[in-house]
Amino acid sequence: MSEYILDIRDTCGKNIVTRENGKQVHDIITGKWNEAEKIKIDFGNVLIASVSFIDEIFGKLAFEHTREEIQTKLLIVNIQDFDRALLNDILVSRLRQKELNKAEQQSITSS
Amino acid sequence: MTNPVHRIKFPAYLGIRNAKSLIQKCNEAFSSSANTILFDLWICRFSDPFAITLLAGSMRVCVSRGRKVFYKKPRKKVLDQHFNRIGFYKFGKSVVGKSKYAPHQVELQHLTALRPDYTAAVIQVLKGYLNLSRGVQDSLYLSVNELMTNTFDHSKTVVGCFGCAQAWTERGTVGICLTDFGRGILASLLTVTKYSHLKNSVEAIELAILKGVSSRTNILAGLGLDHIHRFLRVNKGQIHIISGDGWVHWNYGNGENVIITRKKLKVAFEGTIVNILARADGEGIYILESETREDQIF
Repeated sequence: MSEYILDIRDTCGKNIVTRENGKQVHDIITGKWNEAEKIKIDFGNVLIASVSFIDEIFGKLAFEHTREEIQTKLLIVNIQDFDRALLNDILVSRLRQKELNKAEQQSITSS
Repeated sequence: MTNPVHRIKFPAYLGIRNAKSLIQKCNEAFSSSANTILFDLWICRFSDPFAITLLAGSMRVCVSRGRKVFYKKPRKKVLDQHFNRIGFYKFGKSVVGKSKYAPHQVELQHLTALRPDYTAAVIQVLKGYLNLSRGVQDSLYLSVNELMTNTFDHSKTVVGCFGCAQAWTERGTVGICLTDFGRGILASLLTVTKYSHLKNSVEAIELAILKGVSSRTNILAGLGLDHIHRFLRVNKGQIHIISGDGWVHWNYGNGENVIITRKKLKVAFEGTIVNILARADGEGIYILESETREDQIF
């Protein structure tokens, strides 16, 4: 098991806005999830400021993994303050949504 | 016999508060049977980014429908110079000028695809006039990119969209407007079964800003407009959305006590206009981070 380094600038270049761009990164992370002990995502201090891009990567991961798994597996480096706040905001929002969906499902099943 | 030139006289005030009348004038141009349309701006005295994108876009729509488009420049020198600086005269042909339709200006731009470099350039220009906090810069960057993404993901616009920005140094505000000539928010949301209850454009506009609402199904979506509203709430800014015959204006000047104004236009606009006004010295969305501070993951 090793650390996998994902460099956003090398992977995406200037394509860091759309959901399609984000999907590319998400797919790489998913592909390495079981293989690597740690996935280091290097934002290269480039401003992303895109809800679509961040949501497609991290919002999706929030639906696929627990908060603890995400925290343990991912290491975020060289990210701008604004993007870090945006990333946290989206992760928290999608984790909450996942919990709500689960609660809804349970209430449907029990009724 | 049809009149070879259809002259459309525009009023003195070219601004968002006069949107009804301006949209009516532009629709007059779209539905004209004349071969040549003259946008007469002679008596115009003031213009904002909303009007500039609307006029430039309307000219483009007329051109795409096979019409020749000319304009008559405003006699008021200040506005004439402003139009010149902002790149407006690159759109259409002037009565006296010879410039062809060749848009290449930072402030007014015809966008046919997502252009984050345009957003960066706009912020750069605004920074030249006003002292924008880092949070406001980044929030504006996010807002414009999200609006552009929405346009190209949902509007099905054939002629693309038009963007324009302006700084008002004396008021300390910045205005950014994006205008597309697509199918509008109502038509876009009605493609999804769960929104089939929507009856008019005002309802559709108000629904579209809610978290999770999107015309794209079975995928994650629908956070963009929510973030823009959160930014304007902390910034105490304003946003107008005009789509079809609906007009909704959110004024966050008093912070949480938002004033929402809804209007139904007599003449519907063929597309969607989003006009943002933000305070240069106000907050950016993630300056406070109060909403997530206790819940930080990274």
